[in-house]
Amino acid sequence: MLSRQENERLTQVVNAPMGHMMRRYWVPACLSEEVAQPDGTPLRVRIYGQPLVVFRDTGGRLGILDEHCPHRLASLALGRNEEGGIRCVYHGWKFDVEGRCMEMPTEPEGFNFRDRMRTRSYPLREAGGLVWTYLGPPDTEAPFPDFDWTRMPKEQVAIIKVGERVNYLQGVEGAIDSSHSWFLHRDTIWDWKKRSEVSSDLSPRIEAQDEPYGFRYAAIRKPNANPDTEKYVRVTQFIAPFTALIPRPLIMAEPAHAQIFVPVDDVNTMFYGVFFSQDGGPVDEAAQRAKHHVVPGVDLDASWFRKANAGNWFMQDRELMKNGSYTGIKGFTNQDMACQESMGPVVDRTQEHLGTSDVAIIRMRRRMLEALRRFEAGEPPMGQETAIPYDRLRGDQRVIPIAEPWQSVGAYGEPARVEG
Amino acid sequence: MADSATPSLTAVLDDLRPLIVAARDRGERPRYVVLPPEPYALVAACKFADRDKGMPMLVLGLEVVPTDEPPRSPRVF
Repeated sequence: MLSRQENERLTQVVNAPMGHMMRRYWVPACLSEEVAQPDGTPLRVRIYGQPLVVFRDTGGRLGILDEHCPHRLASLALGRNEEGGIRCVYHGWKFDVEGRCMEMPTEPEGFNFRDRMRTRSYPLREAGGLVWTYLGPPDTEAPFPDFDWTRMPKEQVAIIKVGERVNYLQGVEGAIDSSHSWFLHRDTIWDWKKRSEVSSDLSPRIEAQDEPYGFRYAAIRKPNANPDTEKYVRVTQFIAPFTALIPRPLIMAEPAHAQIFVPVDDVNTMFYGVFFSQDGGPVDEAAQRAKHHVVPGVDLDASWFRKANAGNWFMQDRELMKNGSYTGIKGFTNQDMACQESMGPVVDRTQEHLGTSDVAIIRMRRRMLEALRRFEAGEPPMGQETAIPYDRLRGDQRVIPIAEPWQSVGAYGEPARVEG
Repeated sequence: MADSATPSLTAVLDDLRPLIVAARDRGERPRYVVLPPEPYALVAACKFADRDKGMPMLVLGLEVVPTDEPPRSPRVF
């Protein structure tokens, strides 16, 4: 439950205070594979409602520019990507990856118009199969969130990219809402059997702890073995402004998982689900996309949005439900997004009825609202007051002695593990 | 767009939840929460639809009871 004002402050990102704060973080702009080819097709991207174009030039350098040519504002995504820059097809103005005007053929030489003309470019980095950008003021560029998976070889990282027709907050709240998994995903979660072997306790105690980067919370259950001396702890991390680290599967051969919800605008979100190796083995990206029923061109349209939507009632299959499927919807991402989109593009949180199990949602909202208030007062965004060891942040799960604080799980450093 | 000084309803909920959990840990089965005037006003402003439906005002599953008597912090029973 939020007041109308709180809901607006949390959800509105286009020309809004929350969007201004979010611009102070590095965010994924696209997949590296979308702009893999030098002189390849320029890619239109929209983040916080801002239109951008990403391209890789002849020499392999990546650029991210304002989408519209500064001349007459035609889209540079229509442009020709050739000979070291992107050329607007309308009048031939051409820009390099840093936004410098290389050619201005419609204007006479000798008046320095070209030399003084620029379009805006933004910092970017390629890491973990993603192209990241920073859209904030140049003098406040944030530290890069170098999660461990951003340093792994590409064959150990697989990414699913899925557009969702809702405000980003509905996605984030789904990621940190662990209680829904036991229902919505009960026949989909890959380590379900293993988790059930460890514990069949359906009423976990939920505890949260603030961290400089956001917070982490634990679902604490009685294990099936040694319930009087041990406890089973699953820890999820929320990292401002819109990343969640899901507890790593107990089976080491299964990849770990991070979720990032990048606001496209106030009512659309681009979800990046990162699956990365726990044991050093490869993670098959095509197989992950097929497994989650988010295959480009099959389940997704050319813009990465799902073909399943409210217009076809999320392709829910009632026959499938009669034959054992809990939801009649294939793939856990599709299950999440069907529920989140069914709420409407920006859910009216004055109408909801939260329970005590919704601690993570409540804490996230509080942390983000407080961070926004401090940001407006001139303080740094959450997570930027101190150096954060992103490469050591983990969602995790373990059985630990009952007297040990749950905070030891998912703490900085290498975790011990339940036998996989 | 809201004024950034608006009191926080989500903070009320976040502070209330441990009280409920602690009561349950003591073996109690709390059904009501007593709210001082300011948090009560925040909740009431949000919960008019519940009242229209004939429901009691519920926060984290507890029925809300107003008070202007000390202590001026929420309590559950």
